[in-house]
Order: sequence, then structure tokens, then C-alpha cells
Amino acid sequence: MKPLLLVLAAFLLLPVSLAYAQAVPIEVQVIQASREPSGAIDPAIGQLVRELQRDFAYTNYRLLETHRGQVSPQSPWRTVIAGGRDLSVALVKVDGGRVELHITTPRVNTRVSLHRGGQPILLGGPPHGPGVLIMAISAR
Amino acid sequence: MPDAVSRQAWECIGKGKANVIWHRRYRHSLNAYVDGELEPSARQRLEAHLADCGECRGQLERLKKLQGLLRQGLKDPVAEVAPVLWPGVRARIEGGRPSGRFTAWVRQIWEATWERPRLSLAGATVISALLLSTVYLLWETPVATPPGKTVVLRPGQAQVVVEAVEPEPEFGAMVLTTSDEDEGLHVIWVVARGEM
Repeated sequence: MKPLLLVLAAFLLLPVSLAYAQAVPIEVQVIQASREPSGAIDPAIGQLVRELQRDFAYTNYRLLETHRGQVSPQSPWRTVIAGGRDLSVALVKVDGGRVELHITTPRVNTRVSLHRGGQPILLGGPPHGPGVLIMAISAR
Repeated sequence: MPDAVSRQAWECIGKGKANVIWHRRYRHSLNAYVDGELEPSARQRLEAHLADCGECRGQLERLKKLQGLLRQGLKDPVAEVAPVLWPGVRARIEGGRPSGRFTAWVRQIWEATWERPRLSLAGATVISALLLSTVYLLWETPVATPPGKTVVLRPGQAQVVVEAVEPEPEFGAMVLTTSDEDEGLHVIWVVARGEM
């Protein structure tokens, strides 16, 4: 009966392993940008902030939260970010080194294509405290 | 009317349904009688019946002859039969031996499932469900494209491509790009209508 059990176990684990193989790690950095006096910048967002400072007038960038999860074709990832805002990320497709994501926040739905391990897509604008929130969403 | 088998008994032990029933019972116990397996009381009743029933006496004689033939012909059945039959049995075993462990395993599963139709059905259902779920997972399920504005920035080259943006009705969204379109940042900036 052992071979039969092994085959059954393989069949049971196959969908799980396939789903795991197609899973894409997602990271969301939640940043508060404000016009308060500039302070120490978290090294985790140093490069990002340098680029933002070229085009945005905010003087202070503070990393509030970092969320990590995984998305696969059948299981979107949901999280709650600062201010109790829901953020949902669904995997549309994986094409080589790119992933196409469907991102849903309370105010906007968007579909973006990202390089895995590349630049994040930024969703910004919602007021939060003395400034605004910027969500940097990247795929690993 | 009695049936053809017991017509002779009907004639020899007297008419009557009860007699015919007893006659049948006695006939069925003849084998045990020949083998000496009957209880003393049952043996006495059968012998009394045999005294009156020619059909049962005839059957008894035939059984005794058969038993005598068997005893005479096979004094040591195993010793006499084995040399004759064993080579054939071995040839059939070896001829029918499975070619490998896989074949034996398949045969084992086949026999086990053939004898248990419920198990077969359950197994087939489970395997079908697993296969379907696997196919479903492999299949790329398209997600409906948001019907909003589509912005395509150098598809295939840019680090980030914003393919569609659909803000809620009371909000607007801008796609901002920093100076380097390929390597720079892409920002979807959401603002309330009044702030735009």
C-alpha cells in the first residue's frame, strides 16, 4: 500500500507546490511625506526618497510600515495599512521577469506591470496626519 | 403432487407430504452417514428409514462405492499427485509472474479497487478533483481590466508600466513619472476632485 499512499500524497501536494511555485513575494512600504522639518531618513527608503526629492516638494519622508506577503494566481493578498486603509494586490500574470498586478485601494484600482526586483510603483495622495501617504509596492 | 425426484419415495414410504419432507432430509444426511458423522439418534432414525426406502438405499450404495474408489485410488494423495501436477503448477506460476514491481503494484491496485467499487469511486473522485484543481491553478485566470484610462509607458522596457488606472468617482488620479522614464519612479497620485 506504500506506493499507493506515495502517489496519493504526490497528487495532494502537486497543486500546493504549483501554487507555491507561482507565488510572487510582494513588499509594501508605507511612507508619510510631509512638509515638516527634515529628519533622519530610514535607510530602507533612502534611495526612494532621493528620487522623490527631485520632483516632490515634501521635505520629510518617514517610513511608517513595511508589509510583506505573497500573491499567486488564485490567492490575492490583502493587508491593512496606516489609517485602516485596505490594500489588495492580485496577481494577473507572470511573464518572465515581469509581473502584472491588480492593485486595489479604497480610492483607486490600477493594473501595473513591474519588473521583479525592480523599481516599485508608488501610490500616493491620501492625507495622513500632517502630510500624505505614499505606498511603494514592489514585486520580488 | 410430489416432484419427479421424490416420486419413488412417494411410492415406497407411503403418500403424504410429511413423509416426502422427511425423505428429503434423510437423503441429505446420507453423506454424513457414510462418513460416520451422524449423531447416534439421527443414525438410528436414518437406518429405520433406509429399511423402508429403496431410493435412499440405492443412493447409499452409490455413495459407499464412490468412497471406496477414492480410498483405493488415492492412498497417499499428496505423494501421488505432486510429481504429476507440480511441474505444471510451477510453469503456470512462472509464466504468469509479473514482469516487474510496477506491474505487481498495478495489479494489486486493480484487484483491490475492483473488489471495492465504493473505494474505486471515491479514489476516482479524489484524483479527478485534484487534477481539475491542478489544471485550474495552471490556467491563467484573467482579471478584468479596469475600464479606466490606460497609460502605457514603453511596454517591455520600463521598470514600471502603468497599464490602467481607475479612480473612484469623487477622486482623480495622475500618473507621474520622474525624469528618467525607464529607471525612474512612477507614481499614481490620487487626489480628491476639489484638490485637483
